[in-house]
Amino acid sequence: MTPGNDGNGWIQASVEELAGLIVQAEPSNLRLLADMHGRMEKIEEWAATEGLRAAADAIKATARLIEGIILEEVPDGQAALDVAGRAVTSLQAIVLAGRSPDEVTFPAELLGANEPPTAETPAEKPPIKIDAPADDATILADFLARQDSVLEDIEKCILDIESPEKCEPAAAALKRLLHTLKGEAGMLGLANVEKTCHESEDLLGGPLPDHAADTLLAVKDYLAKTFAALAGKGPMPAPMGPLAKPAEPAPAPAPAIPTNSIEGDPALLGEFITESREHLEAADMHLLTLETDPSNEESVHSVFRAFHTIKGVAGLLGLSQIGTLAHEAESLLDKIRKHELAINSQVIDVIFETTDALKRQVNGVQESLESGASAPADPAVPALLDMIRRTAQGANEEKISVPKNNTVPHRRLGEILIEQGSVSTEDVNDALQKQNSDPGRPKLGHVLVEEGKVAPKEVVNALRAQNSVQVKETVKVDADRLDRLVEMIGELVIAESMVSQTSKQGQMGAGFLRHLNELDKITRELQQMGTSLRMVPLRATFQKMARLVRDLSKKSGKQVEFVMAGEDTELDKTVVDRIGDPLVHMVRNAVDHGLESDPADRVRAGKSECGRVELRAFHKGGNIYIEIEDDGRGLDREAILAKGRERGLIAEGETPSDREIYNLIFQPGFSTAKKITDVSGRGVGMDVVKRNIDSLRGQVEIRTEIGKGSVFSIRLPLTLAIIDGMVVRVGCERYIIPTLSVLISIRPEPAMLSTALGKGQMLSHQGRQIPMFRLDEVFRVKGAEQDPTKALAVVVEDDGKQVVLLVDELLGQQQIVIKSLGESVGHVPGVSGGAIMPDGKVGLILDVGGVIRLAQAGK
Amino acid sequence: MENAALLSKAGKYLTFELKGEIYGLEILKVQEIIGMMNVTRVPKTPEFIRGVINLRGKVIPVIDLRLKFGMESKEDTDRTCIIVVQFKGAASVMTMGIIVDEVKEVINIESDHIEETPAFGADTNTDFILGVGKVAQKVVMLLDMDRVLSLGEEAIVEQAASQE
Repeated sequence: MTPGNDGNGWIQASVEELAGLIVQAEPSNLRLLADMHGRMEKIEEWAATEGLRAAADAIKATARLIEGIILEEVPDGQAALDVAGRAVTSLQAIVLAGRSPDEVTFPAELLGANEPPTAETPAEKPPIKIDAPADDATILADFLARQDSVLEDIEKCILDIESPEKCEPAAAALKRLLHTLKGEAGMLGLANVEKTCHESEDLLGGPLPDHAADTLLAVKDYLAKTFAALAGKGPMPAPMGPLAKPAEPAPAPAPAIPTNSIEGDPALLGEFITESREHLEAADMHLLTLETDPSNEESVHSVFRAFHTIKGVAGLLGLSQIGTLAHEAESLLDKIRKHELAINSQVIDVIFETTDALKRQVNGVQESLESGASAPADPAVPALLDMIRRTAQGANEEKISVPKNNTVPHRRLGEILIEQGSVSTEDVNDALQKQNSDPGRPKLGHVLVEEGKVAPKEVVNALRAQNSVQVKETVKVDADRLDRLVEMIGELVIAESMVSQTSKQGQMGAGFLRHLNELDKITRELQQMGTSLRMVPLRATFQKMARLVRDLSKKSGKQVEFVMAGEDTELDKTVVDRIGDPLVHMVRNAVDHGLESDPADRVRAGKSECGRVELRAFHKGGNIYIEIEDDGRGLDREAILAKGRERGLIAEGETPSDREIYNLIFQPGFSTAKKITDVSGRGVGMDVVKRNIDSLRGQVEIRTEIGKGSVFSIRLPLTLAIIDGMVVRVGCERYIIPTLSVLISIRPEPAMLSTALGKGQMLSHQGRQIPMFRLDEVFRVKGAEQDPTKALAVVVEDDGKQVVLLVDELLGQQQIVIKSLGESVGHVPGVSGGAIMPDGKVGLILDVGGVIRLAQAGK
Repeated sequence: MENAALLSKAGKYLTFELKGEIYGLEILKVQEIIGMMNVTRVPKTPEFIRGVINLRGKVIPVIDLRLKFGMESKEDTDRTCIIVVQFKGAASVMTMGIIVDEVKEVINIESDHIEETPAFGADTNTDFILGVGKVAQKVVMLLDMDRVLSLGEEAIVEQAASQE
């Protein structure tokens, strides 16, 4: 059935409008939400009459969700809107793209609010309890801390899947990531995460369905929310429903799986759950020891005891499945204990599998204890039991395919072994061939060990080296401590320059000066290192934009090609954190308003149908530039100018520069959509953009050509802590002008000076008349030079506005560590902070914008 | 009840001189005493804020207590000192320097030597005086530094408002 094609024009229009609305929706915009709600009800009716039950249910749930946002019953409105957005995307797939409803999935979050749409949906497990991983809070915290970057990687891979040439490696990388995550989640007892990852892996295993990326992004969102919830931020999302995967009959459960009945005493069961977790945790730790030191008998005994205890209590409580598993593992360990079986990584793998399975079982018992339902049998158990038995029989020759492998490490094992000198290159190549010809695909280490080419210990060492590559990557440091360190380095730099200045005045021996030079070099290096400590790449932020563009293009139906460049450019962490919001606004504007909504318009303008948005970052002249370029319709200079005149922002008869005109869009409330262009105006949130960038001491510049597109160029300082400053003297005071604001400094000649209306002085520079202010008058400093031709004119710029500041002389230029003047002085107009000068005194840093305002107010 | 209030004021005070008068400052508020140093004036701030200094890498404001109390200013001498105090600001503990003519000594004042602040009339604000101590025939005005300095903030606000 293709519901889109049988004369349902209105429904297509309706869904399209809904999609348009949801892109703009904000939890606070009640009217828009109500509008959406109304449309959804109609669509639901339609879906019900068309027999699209799943769609009708999903839309009903979405409508209810929207209602929840309106009534503020939903804790996280934005997240709920996200879900609604995805539901609408799925709906679009059915109605507009004419997909069969069976192959379209609706966001799983909705299912919790409604009945499962189809009968074959298996019952979902209740959300995991957070108390489960609380046993090992630090491990969990550590795990969560790492997930931000993992999720970023996952998202990147998902986005890459959509491009045909990157699809394969991306899918493989994604699989690895999900697999690792699955393993870790399993270890922490996050059953739902584990399950979802597992299903996603299955999805990636086969040929990818069309909507794979959507499904996977939903998975990623779910994971992000779960991790946020575990970190105490936001509510725990409902577990993901089963992912749409290639129909594959569930493996028929073996007839004789023992099951866990939970008829035992609840109190005893509860105790058992806690104890078992502790035992399994301990067993895991000892297994890790064994992996590196297989001869450690104490560890063997400990693991044995853990299984033994679990077996005993499980038997007592009638948890026969746990009992059986623990029993088999115990027998295996017994053999090891009696030296009948040697420990190798395979044995350890099997025991790890067992502890994992036991943890799952224990979680299952807890869940059924809470829900009252009987614990489901774990289908993996029979295979695992079989594997344990075979391992116990010393059946090492049989290649046992342990479910968790395929992890392609960062460095090849063979390479490490060759590096260590354990094996020759030929041996590795031979082994690789053997490995490839063997259908069981044994691990390279195993092949080499079997061939007698290398000792297992060396393999383990190599494996450790392989893993340690990851471990060495980062050291986590408290941000406060880091700040303190950077601050101290700043002090050191100052102290050093004080010493060197004092030494220049006195008579010092050559040796002393040499040492001082050395010290100078070291401090400089230290300063650079200190600054670099706080630097992080923009990658994560850019990644988010890629996702945003993708979502926007889906929702608006515009084809957008998104190009990123320079995402490895590093910036101060504070800057990176704060640049995200403005970028979202600007990228959104570029896609929503910059690009033409009708591809035909683009073709007519001689551009390709597919819009292009480019986000790039680069270094230039000690600053970082972030630019957002679109090849859309560009800003309409005349329309903005007319609007500016209308609003009185530009006086009649004045001819502002292009820059001044484009800067108008940053005015608060400037863009009342339709009046600038036909559809809607650029400038939604542009005022926010401007303010955010100002607070980072950055500047925005717009370059645009009507019909060709626009570039928004953001210039940012490398770091917030240090600036380049020009030190000037005014009377007996010294001030620092940020070099970023200085255009040029000149000694004025009488011919360059003129007076306007008998009071305001002007300086003519490069054919422009620039208003001139005396810094001594602005700051009421005594004893400054009054004759402009004997003073120094510094042309400064703020917000595209140029003025001349008259100072007595230029003392020098230097890097300056910014310090706040302290709360008690508060905000001083015209001064942005203080800095410690090389002579130990405090110098004040000018806030050029503030000085200009002060000067103008004083007139 | 009154005694209880006075009792809590008993303790060690750092005394200093200002235009011939002796003032006391709770010793716990004092971080250190430093000699007079070069102060950078901050434009557009009230007269009593002398400016900012570099205290081992930290920029702290310094106020001239003479001007703060409405006395005429006086040339700095080699006895002029900056007492660095910590006080509770609006949000956090702040550090500030106060310039005094001369630092005297640390004295212990018993509660029975402390008297309530006498009323000087409506136009004299005595909120920032904890009480009056009598030590060896001399009168010591015990200052409530938190009040003194937060009064300053108000003054700044007022002054800024009048400038607008």
